[in-house]
Amino acid sequence: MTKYLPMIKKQAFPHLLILIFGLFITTSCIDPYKVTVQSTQSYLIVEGAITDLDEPQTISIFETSETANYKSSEFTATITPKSSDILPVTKAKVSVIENGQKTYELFETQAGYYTTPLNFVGSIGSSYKLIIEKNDGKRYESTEEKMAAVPEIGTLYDKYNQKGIKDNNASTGNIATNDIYIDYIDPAAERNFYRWKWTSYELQNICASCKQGYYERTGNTATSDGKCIQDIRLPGFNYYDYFCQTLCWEIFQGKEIDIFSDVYTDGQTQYDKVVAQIPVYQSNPCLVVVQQMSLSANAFRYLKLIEDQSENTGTLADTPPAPIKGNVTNTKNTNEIVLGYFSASAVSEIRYMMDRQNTIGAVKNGLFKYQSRRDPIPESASDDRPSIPFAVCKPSVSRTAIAPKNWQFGR
Amino acid sequence: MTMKNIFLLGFCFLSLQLFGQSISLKVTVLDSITNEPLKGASVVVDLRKNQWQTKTDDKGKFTLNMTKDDHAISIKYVGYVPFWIYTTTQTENKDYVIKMRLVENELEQVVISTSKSDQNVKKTLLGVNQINIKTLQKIPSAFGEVDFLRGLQMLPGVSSVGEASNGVNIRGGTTDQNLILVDDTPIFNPTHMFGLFSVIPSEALSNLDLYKGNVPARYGGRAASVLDLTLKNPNLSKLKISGGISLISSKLMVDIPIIPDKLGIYFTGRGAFTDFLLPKISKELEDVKSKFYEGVVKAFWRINSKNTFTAMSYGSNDFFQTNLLSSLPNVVGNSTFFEHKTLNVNAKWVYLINSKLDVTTSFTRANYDPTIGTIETVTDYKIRLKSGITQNIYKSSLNFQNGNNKIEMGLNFTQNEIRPGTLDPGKAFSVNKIETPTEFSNEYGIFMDDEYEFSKKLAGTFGLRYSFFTALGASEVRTYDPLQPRDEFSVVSSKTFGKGDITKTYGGLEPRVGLRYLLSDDISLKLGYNLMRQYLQIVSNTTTPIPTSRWKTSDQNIAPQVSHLLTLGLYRSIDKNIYDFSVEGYYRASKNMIDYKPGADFLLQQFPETQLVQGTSNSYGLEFMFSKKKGNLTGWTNYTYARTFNQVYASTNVLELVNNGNPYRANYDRPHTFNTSIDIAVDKHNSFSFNFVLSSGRPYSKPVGFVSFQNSYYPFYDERNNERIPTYHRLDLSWNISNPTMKDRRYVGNWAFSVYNLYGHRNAYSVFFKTENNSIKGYTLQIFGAPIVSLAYNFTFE
Repeated sequence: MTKYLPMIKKQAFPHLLILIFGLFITTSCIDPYKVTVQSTQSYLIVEGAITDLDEPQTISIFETSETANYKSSEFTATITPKSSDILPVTKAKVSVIENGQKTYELFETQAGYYTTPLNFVGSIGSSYKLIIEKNDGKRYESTEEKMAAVPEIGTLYDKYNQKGIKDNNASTGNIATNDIYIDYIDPAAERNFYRWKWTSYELQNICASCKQGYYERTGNTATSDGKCIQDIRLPGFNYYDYFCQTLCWEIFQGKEIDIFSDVYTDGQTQYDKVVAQIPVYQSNPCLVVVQQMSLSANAFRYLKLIEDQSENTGTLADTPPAPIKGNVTNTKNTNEIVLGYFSASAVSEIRYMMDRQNTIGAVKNGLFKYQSRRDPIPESASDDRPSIPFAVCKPSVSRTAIAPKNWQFGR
Repeated sequence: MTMKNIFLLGFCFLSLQLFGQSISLKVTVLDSITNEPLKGASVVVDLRKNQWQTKTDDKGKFTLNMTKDDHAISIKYVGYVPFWIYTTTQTENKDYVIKMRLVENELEQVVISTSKSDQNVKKTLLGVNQINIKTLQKIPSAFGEVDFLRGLQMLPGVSSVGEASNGVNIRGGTTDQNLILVDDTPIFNPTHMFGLFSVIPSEALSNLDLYKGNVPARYGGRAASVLDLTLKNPNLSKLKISGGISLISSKLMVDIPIIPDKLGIYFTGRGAFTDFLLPKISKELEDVKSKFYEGVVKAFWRINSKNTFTAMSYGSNDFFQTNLLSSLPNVVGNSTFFEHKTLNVNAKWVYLINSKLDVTTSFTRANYDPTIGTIETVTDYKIRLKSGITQNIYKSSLNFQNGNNKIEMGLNFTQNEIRPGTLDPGKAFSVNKIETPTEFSNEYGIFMDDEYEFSKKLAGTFGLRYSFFTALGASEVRTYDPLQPRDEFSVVSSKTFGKGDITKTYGGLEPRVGLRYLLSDDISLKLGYNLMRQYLQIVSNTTTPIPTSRWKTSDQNIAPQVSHLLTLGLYRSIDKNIYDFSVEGYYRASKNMIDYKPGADFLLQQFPETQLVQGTSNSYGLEFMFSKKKGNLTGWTNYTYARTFNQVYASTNVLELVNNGNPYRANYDRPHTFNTSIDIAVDKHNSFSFNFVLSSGRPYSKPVGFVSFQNSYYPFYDERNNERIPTYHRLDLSWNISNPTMKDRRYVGNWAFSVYNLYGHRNAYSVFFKTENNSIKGYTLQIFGAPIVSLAYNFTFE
């Protein structure tokens, strides 16, 4: 160390301190850890909420495979459950009973998804109970969930947050965000439980990418599909990216469980509650949908446990995990663990067009670059292909070509 | 000789100057007691065995002719303490007479039994360890901070959940089952910065007694063990100032005799304020802030030959802001901070009636006030959730000694006041002020210990304690339907008690017996049995209690913990007490152990019994310990096999039972532990210490599967603690250099250089799973993932 001393003559002492001190602090950190989990039994997963929104309500019913095997990946220790290990429960008889009187039969729209009939709209103050009869004869019932009222979201605004959130896709490991803050008035003299969810719609200008190939449309109409056609004359690492034919939106959904109880705040106005951190992928305006939902006490407890076991971990004093009981039980065998929760929530929703004027350093149409970690490489016209096709915006759970409600054009 | 010379002599093998003045040393080597000459002692100059080696002759003499320069001459003889002669360029021809001392006559360097060297074999108690402060100071520790809790973990039967553990686990007990006393005052939170440092100013520490087997009857109230830390008494003869500085903290102690031989007082303190360095190291640490300090003032007054009076006050204060701990839930705030402070006072009067009888009377008040807080986002006002515990303890005891009979008897009375929590919004307007009622209770103890020698071979300690507990009002006491899980809906009746009304009582006899039988002069067999009751405990739902974890006394719905401990041991001292060997086996059964229901929340909970389940805990173990207590190399090595299983029974609902009601491993269940701690004194000024720890990883709960829920995957769990984190191992080193100037002055400085986790093993503290995007990742969290190098300077002035 003596050797280097002349170089750090000024402020040598604090720097040395940092040097030595730093040895430990920077190393207190986390490493990936690999596990292999072999299931020994099958679990039923029931999930869904009845809301007071005027839209169909969907309940999903799945089952984990009895022989499911989950294995961490080699380097990042990531476990991605295989879709084959989570099987839809089909041909079940599913119904919702309102206030113990009126029964609504749900119909299966996709394998494992059951949707309420058109004449059904949830209403505040009513109680709902889910009944499932599997085709093997097992019968499951949920507890009665009463839909509590939820106060309206008061003001909503966004603030640019340069530090942002952790993001492994970003080169710095962090991505700046627009933090969405809300105010609301908690109703006095009643116990309220809240949950917040968000969805954002971002414009996407690249709708297809072809590796070692060219994009071709399969038909001639504006909505006809397209696909990549491999061409081995191109180098193996060659990419061509194709602009969208129409406006196209990527749909992002908040993954965090954001819940709150008014146990300490009953009757008080809550200010500046952060309900979403929307990553600044690009400088384009986007639409943010924030939902403030009511929860029953038991639904709150259920979500709190999930949050504790999946998000509030890695602290100096974790709460050891335990089986989490949902509110659906096998009527013959109440000890069977059924995962998931059937809840009833009133919803206050704000659809906010965020102009992103307050962001710094974001690039227009930068979403593609963020997602694929490279600039788009449009195919240039050649003699073989004098006109380059536009790609179709193919609808999926994360993409839509239909402008979301309240999207403001021209911003 | 300077430090530099030692370096050169010891490590660089500096070639000797062949030309120059020479000197002749004539040396006679004798036994220090008999004055017999020692023949054949080996003499080595400058550690160069090949060129510079000789032996003493029949008369114990040898002569060396050498250059007039810096030399280090070692004289060694089997069984004796090595002797060193240093020469310099100033040294003239000289005759030396050296008296070498037998190692067995040395004072013990490492005291891992009691003060008398044969006590390990002869005393009647089992499972008693003592560490003196000299040993603690030499044990390598993280950041060079003397830490009794880390020192203790080198002993058999003492473990923890890991490096950020807020306390230790002794023979299968939880952290709150250890009674930690500092000069008779209880400590409720033994660490700073969440387990990284212990809370006792090392300058004032004199001795540490750990009772993990037989606990004398004078101690009560905790189910597993007693850690009795004794502070130094003020020096009555001369002024002494000592202190030190390390990267973490600065400390100072001033010891002032006010009236020589009559009245003295000292002040000591340690403070750590170096958190301003954190953001310079890593951006991620911008949000971590930590400051702590603690101090002791102690006065001793020798009133006359029969009466002495001691007064002591201990205080500590912590501020810790981090994102590594869970935040204050259900408050809209933007960062979480912890503040906790302790203030203990103790006054003790000792009256010597005659040479055989004395009376000790003391009053203790202990106060611990932890706070968890957050900052209201919109206003930056601080919102605090304050809690606290206060104990007033009155104690009186009579000591009587007559030949082979030693009796101690006494009374104590403890008042508990627990403030479970007040949410104080301060000026913040989004939060309500919420108070939970203060809980009061009293604990009474009457005890007697009789140490009696039946014969030369057989002796025993017979202790008996009667403890009695009363839970007091004002309170609302609920009765629950015994067939239903305890919650808001199963309340059968509720009764309101006025202030001071007795709401529930518990009590019982607590026998404490230790028997010793001498198989020979240096081998003994011992048997011990202990029963202990615990009325005050931590209720918490985390792997290790956090500083703000709630303390709760027994009441109508929470029964006291009762623990039985049976110990059997074999002790052997070898080679005139230079070596000690012991093996102890134990079995511990306790009932009414406390665990929490899934999703339990104790914050501001007026009825914590709705969040708790009680059960049993069984632990057993076998501890092998070998120590070398004298000589240049001292230290110990031990191996422990220990298991702890808990089982919860008190519920009819399967999902309220932990692990479906089946036995499960405790969080700190580590079957195999191997510890070694060695100190090597190279010469008068340099010593090296090593620690090596190898231990089974602690259990964690591994998910049994993963489910998709609301667009994300989540792990789900079934069995508690069904897997283990990777094996823990670590090597530490410290190099203590005392008085490097080697001059006999009033001011003496010492350097301590230490490396914790020398080979930088990334020991896991915990294994956890996090949901990220559309997958789940497994991680290990490390507290000290690399070597921690630190340097500390300490001084004394007398």
